[in-house]
Amino acid sequence: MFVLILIIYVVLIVVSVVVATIIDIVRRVLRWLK
Amino acid sequence: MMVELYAQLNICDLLIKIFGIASLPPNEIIARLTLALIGALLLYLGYKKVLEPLIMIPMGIGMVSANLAFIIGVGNPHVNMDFTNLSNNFIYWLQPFYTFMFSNGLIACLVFLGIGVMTDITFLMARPYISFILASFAELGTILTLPIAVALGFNLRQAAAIALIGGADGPIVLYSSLKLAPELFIPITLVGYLYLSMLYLFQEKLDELTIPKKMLMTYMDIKELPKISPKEKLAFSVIITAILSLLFPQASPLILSFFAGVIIKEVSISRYVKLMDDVILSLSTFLLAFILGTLTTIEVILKGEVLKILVLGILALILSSIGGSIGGIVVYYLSKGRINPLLGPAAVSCVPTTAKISQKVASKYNPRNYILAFAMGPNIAGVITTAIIASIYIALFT
Repeated sequence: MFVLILIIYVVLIVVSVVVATIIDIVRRVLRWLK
Repeated sequence: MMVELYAQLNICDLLIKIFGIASLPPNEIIARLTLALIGALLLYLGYKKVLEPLIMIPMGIGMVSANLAFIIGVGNPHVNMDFTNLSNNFIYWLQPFYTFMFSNGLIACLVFLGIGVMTDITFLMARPYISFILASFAELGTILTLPIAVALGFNLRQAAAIALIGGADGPIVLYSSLKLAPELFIPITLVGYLYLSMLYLFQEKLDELTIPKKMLMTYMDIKELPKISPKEKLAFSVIITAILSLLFPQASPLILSFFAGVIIKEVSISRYVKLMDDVILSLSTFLLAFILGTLTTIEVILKGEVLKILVLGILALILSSIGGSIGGIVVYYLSKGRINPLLGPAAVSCVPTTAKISQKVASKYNPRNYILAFAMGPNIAGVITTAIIASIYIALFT
């Protein structure tokens, strides 16, 4: 169970960073296009 | 003729025929009266604005009636928990709403649509990393409550649905409990909304307990918030909806509803904004609370092991709030004291309540401080991370 919640938390953090990166890239691209 | 009729019916039979509740065993009558009184108390606390009136007033009056009205052979005359039996739609007056809005999670999506219309995503776009780091910390309760609930005897699906109360997002709690543990969705959603209504009571104290006073005073200048044009927000919302729908199909109904609301706000179609805010959000919030109240009868509560869920629900929320405070302190040090740690507890995603509480605490310690606009970033990131965890739980456990 400990391993399971650890994996879920790691997946959440990784996905959060990925989503934040996507948001950052989208914002930068939009600024660049403007 | 009349004499014969009187002879057949004694006074007890008459009472049972008129008042269905009289046919029940005494302990069940007492339990029903107690639950009706609790309903009246919730209504009163809503009226006094101790709890959220938009939820507690319709829920409270629903509980009062549903626990006292009992028809022999029918039971609760308002609504029946079984939405698979379509003939119930012709018997119970609230059943059509319940069947078509609860069976597939539509009600949660409608609430999300309305929340989206009220939400400003400026800080989320301006500071995505900070927002998502804080949101990840503020999911501590959603993760840690899972093994505790399993240890208390719930299966993984039920434990996951209960743990999601820690995400502090009413529509996600409702949606995921319908998908993960439909047999427990009433007690879980009831407890979830009860605690979310109580956030004003304990979150403020918890913030003051977990974050040092010096940090609470950190001033954040609103002028530092970059300007993001509606066009950028619109493009961002479309792209992020596409990506999140691709990555998390299980949570895509909620993600789509939320960002559709954001898009409607940003394109400023006033008719739609009015429709979403005034009609859809108000109507769906009312129906959600009212139907939940009428479903909260003693047989559902007893079946749902509500005491355990009450304990686990508050534990999940407190853990998430503490996680948010820890995240806030980490970000405070990472930013060399420029970011107020109160942005951390705001990442507990009850939009916009937790952000407002952070603002309230910040103003208390520094009356010049206006952090609400900053707090909305982690607040919305919290909604997205909670939807992500819900999606992971649904994919893993169903």
